[in-house]
Amino acid sequence: MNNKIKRFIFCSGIVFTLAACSNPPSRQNFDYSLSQGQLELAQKIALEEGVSSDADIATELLWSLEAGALLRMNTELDRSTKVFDTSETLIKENETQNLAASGFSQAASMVVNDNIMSYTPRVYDRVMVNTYKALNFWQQANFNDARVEWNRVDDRQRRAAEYFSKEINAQKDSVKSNNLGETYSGAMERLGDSGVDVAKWAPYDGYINPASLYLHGLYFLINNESAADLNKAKESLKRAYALTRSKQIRADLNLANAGRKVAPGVWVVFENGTAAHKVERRIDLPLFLVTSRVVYTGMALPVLESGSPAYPYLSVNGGRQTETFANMDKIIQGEFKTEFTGILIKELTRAVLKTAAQASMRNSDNKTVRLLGALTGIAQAVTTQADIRSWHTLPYEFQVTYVKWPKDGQLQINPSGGAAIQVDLPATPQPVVVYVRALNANTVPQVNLLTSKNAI
Amino acid sequence: MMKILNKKTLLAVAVAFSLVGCAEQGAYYVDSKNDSVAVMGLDYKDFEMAATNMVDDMLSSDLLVHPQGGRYVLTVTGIVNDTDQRIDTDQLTKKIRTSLLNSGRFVVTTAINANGPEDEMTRKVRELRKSKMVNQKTVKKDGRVIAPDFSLTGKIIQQNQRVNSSTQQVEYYFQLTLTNLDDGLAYWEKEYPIIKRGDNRTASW
Repeated sequence: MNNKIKRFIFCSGIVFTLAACSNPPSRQNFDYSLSQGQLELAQKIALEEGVSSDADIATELLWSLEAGALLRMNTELDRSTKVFDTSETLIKENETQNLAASGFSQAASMVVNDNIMSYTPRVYDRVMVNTYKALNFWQQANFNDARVEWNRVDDRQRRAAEYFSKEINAQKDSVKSNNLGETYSGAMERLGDSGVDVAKWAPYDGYINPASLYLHGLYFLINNESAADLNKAKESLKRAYALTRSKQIRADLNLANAGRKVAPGVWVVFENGTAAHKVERRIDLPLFLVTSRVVYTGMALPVLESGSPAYPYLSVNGGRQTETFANMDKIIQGEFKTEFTGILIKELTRAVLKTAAQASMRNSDNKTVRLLGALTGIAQAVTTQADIRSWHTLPYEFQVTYVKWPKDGQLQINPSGGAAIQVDLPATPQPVVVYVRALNANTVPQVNLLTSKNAI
Repeated sequence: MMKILNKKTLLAVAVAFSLVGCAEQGAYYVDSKNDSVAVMGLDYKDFEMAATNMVDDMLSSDLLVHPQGGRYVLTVTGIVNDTDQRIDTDQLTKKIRTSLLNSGRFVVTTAINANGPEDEMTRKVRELRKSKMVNQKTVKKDGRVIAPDFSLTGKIIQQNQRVNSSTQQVEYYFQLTLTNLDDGLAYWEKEYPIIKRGDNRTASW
């Protein structure tokens, strides 16, 4: 009896150790701080969790992305860039990781869940890291390094389309080779019944992030050093217009077509709200493996919950209102949709493996093995957790409007339903971007000025 | 189970770990002449190759031989870094300037440049003429600074291409132009490409 109790305690210990926590307390505290507009506290949590305290070097990718974005919002630009730079090193390690090591952690994740693996950066994460760094440099009037980061954004976007076409083909093959056809369609039906409509998650064409594309075009429109730069602006603005049909982007494209010299004026770019995030949805499995002797079977899938804007729009100098030109939620949903098939296949395979092991132990003649079978059932229940990790400080959407250079050099920005913000423009009239970031209505919007390289 | 973990096994494991430790190497010098290690980004060998090639080409131009056998004065306006690498383009211009200076056909002015002088001192020392502290005979005179004859500008461009699912090609183009400031004509131009192929799994920087 004593031995049995010991064995039970031992096995239970393993079960709970295996249950990698999908939403740890630090994440809950972080989200709460953000919702209350306590950006410094949120920054502190992110730095503690993902960045080395002595040298601002990223140690855990997802937390370092949150830290980099918050340092940027709190105008600690050098630190933000450094954290993002070292985040990129982690991204590179993830991209080039040894296949054997990757295979081992994949195998381990089949036994437990995906949360035991380090966070895999999404393509939009990678594009946004370079976009934020480019904006950091632009804000610091470091035009040489800003150019490099915009070039990197360009390359990241080129690689995105390549990556997704490969990924989609691999998933189709996987459904076939694992003979999951029926189970897969059954699981999709169950998801539909529980209100998850995967079909509505549609990406922008070519998996392009139109916000990064437009900001790339706007940068080279305002800061061009040659006809080649102006061509870069035209190309990006043309593509961004094709994706978004934004009136402002159309006007900017006309400006680019008119020539290199851009008249003084103010673009107000508004990074609004917080992005879509994943939540766990547990569903029963339509599996033939289910028997009365099985303690638990089911799976946990990550599904997306829409993000939310901080304000409907900003009005500028009592007139022009910002309008949406790119929706981060759509970017996230589009990318998630392509990955969802892979996640579902993996989760189905994992559930089949775990359930088969459980059923076989529960059917044994040996009492101890049957006890272990019951414990395996509990283990399966506890370890069945969806990977709901994602970058929470990304915005819900991007908006823009343009006003001519005000004679008094002053700009008044009114968030709809919020307090007015006064912005002092540079003494020299020039094309500038006033970049506004508001996480939610509890946060004071951060306003920054991005000047022109060509200002006299 | 315990039999496996006997003293011999533990000793073998210890030896294995100590050997693994030996495999790690500390810092060491690179023989730059025989260094064949390549990276996808730009490294010192690329700058060395580009600078050497371009200077050799520039010096072979008859247009750049001073008719009186003297030296032309050159200003380096700047090289735009249009790559994905955060590099300092001075690394390239410094090598070119050094080689041109050593050739005996050019001198470089650091007092005059489109983006402001590289060295402010040429102007600042002339402000000393009002200083009671400074021996006025040693203060540099006006009308002595030489205006440049040529301006060197350029660009480093990067283009990334996919070769196949596992290989990418990264193309770097070093472009330089030497403009005669007397007539605004480009007396010399050169493009030097460096093409690299490697792992497609990750970005080139």
